[in-house]
Amino acid sequence: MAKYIIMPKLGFNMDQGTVVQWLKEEGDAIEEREEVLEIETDKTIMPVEAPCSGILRKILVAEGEVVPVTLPIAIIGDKNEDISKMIDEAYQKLGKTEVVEKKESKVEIEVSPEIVKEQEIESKKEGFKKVSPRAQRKAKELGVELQSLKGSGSEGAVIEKDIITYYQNHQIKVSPVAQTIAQKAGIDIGTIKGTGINGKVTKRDIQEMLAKSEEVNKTERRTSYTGMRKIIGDRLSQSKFTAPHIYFTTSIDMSKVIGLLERFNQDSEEKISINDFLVFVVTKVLSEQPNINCSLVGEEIVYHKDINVGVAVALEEGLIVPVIKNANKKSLSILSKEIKKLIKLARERKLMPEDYQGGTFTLSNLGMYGIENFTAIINPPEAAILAVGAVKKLPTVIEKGGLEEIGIRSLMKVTLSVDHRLIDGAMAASFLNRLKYYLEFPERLIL
Amino acid sequence: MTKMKKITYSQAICEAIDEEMSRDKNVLILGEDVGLLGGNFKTAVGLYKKYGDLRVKDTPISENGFLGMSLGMAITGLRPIVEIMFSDFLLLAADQLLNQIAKIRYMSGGQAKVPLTVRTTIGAGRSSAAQHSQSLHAIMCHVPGLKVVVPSSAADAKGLLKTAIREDNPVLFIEHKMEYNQEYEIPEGEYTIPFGKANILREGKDITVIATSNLALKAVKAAEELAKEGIDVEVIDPRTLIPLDRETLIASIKKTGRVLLADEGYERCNISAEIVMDVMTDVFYYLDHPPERLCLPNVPLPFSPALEFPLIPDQEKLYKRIKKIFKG
Repeated sequence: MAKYIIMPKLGFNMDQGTVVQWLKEEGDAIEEREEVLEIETDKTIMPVEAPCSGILRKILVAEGEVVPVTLPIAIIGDKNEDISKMIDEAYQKLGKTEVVEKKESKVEIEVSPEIVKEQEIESKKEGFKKVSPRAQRKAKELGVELQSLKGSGSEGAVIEKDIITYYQNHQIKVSPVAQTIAQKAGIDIGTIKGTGINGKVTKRDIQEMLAKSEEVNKTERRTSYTGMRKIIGDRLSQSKFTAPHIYFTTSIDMSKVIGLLERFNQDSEEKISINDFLVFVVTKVLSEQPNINCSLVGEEIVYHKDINVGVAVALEEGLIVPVIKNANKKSLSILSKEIKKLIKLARERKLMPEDYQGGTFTLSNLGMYGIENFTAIINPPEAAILAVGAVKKLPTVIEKGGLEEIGIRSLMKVTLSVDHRLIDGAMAASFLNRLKYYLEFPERLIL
Repeated sequence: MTKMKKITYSQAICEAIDEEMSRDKNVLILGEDVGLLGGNFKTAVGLYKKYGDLRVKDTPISENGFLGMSLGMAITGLRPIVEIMFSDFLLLAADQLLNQIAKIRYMSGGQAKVPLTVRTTIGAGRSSAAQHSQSLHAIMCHVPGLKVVVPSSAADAKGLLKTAIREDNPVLFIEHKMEYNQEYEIPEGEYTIPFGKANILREGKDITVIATSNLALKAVKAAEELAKEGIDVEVIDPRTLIPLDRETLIASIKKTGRVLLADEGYERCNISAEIVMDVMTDVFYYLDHPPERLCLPNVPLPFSPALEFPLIPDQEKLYKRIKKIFKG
């Protein structure tokens, strides 16, 4: 007898979980209690074990998708068993209309509008798929791809309702409780920014929204300390109260870097920013000084092989740090492109967990806000973070051929925060000096 | 709450004419049998006795002649109401109506105004055969210069007719002949209803039904039936075809994403085609379903009731058509 693997309820407060990774593929033989996939709750990542032995016949939910607890996420059965009824039933419960393939959701997001259009025309040519103008408009507005949709309108046309249903099942992640409250209060969930995992709208988001509208007329605004705000708060408190921070500030003359970037960007469509350049140089210095690129894990200090640099991005609801993986293996132009893409995804709330996990060092830049100098709290489990201030033109003493004179230079202050349990002052100073060494004479990067 | 009273559609028309005639001595009524007989459809009962032969005038059977005469009266200071018994007969007076009445104000550079109300009737269902059953309002809408009113209920008919009579431009006022003997609740006392203001008879979220004349009332009944089956129909009576309340229609279609138009004129070149085209640029990207219409098929109306009724758009046909739209 085939059995479902369901999204388990791992705690009193858990009402849904995200599928992080499938450890098995369809067709794999599985022993009872063997780990099949990993899920993420609002607290942690946990493996899910097989309820019985058999073949993993069907994966029902793609990586990155959020599923309410107790709903089916996969089917285990015998090799030749007919599971079509179970698949139908499961998709009905999940509110899906089509077969979901592993990993497809992320690829979809990256498809450019032109390509979507082309595909749409393609599919129309092949199957004469009818899509009402209203549905097309809604699909464009919500960014829903029409290709995989089944229509419920007359002659099987895709109508607005189909788009909205698809969108609600796939895009706006709403917890069932939140949905019920929102319906009762007459709130359009589409207007709420979710603060849960993957932008999921939680019960608290709705309550905050309600509280906000109730308190507009009062003098002080109160919102509950929950969601993303609380996650940030908890993590930073933990960091600041457990890791003894020490701070090192230095001034760097950025005149040459600015000149260099001006020349780079003159004829190029893809502009490289100071921040991109900083990520590039920081990566270079980290590869030379691997003792900064480390974490304290339990009783061990782990020196990371990979250099994964996080870049802090400010959003309305809080801070998120997308991570550029293996930055040391990437050229400046590729780094620049990747940073831009990640920042864009972050602003659109489309980052997947793997986009912001696994960082080994973080760069936080408030230069664009005109901040001269600040200290940052280390992003655990990393051991160091670099706080970057604004580039300012300042009079400074310049040595030229043994003579000292006053000149105007573009200076930038950076402050390195390190976890003193792992990194000592001399190591931090050496890191900063090396950074300064490259940034003041970027020619040295090619030596 | 306005106090209501129960009267027939023809009594409501008569009341409107009576009130306007006593309000303004320049208002008069003329047409075939409007005098001694009190109107073929009893829409002028008692007026001859009350206002006398000069203000309530029986005319010979000569539509072109007395419509031309009315135009003369209108441009020289009177405010005539002319009754053309059937819209079919408007064709006899088409030159006066469409070439003269509709154009004089324009051609005189605004020197002559035409405060003239032409009342006529549409609608099949009386075994009157092909030449006395037509609903020819779409033809009249084609030529610029006329305002065209198609009231549904008795209450609307009264309020709109009073507005028509007070209007300084020619108005074609189209009554439905199957409604005259129907009883309606109408507000007590005097009131007018402005032109260009559609009436949302029933609010709904699934489909907009734009129905003219008495089909609007039938659409409401069909909608009540459909509501029991979970289809929420919005019914709009445009009240006036010219001017047309585009904003109300557009807002409704944008809301529901579906539109069915119902009109008793022939299907080909039906006014519904004009209405849909008029709003299409505004609503195209809001449609979930192609616009549909329910009209009279493109055949002359038969005399035999057994053949006549299956052709006439009614409540049941509206119900079935809307059901079909939602069948998927």
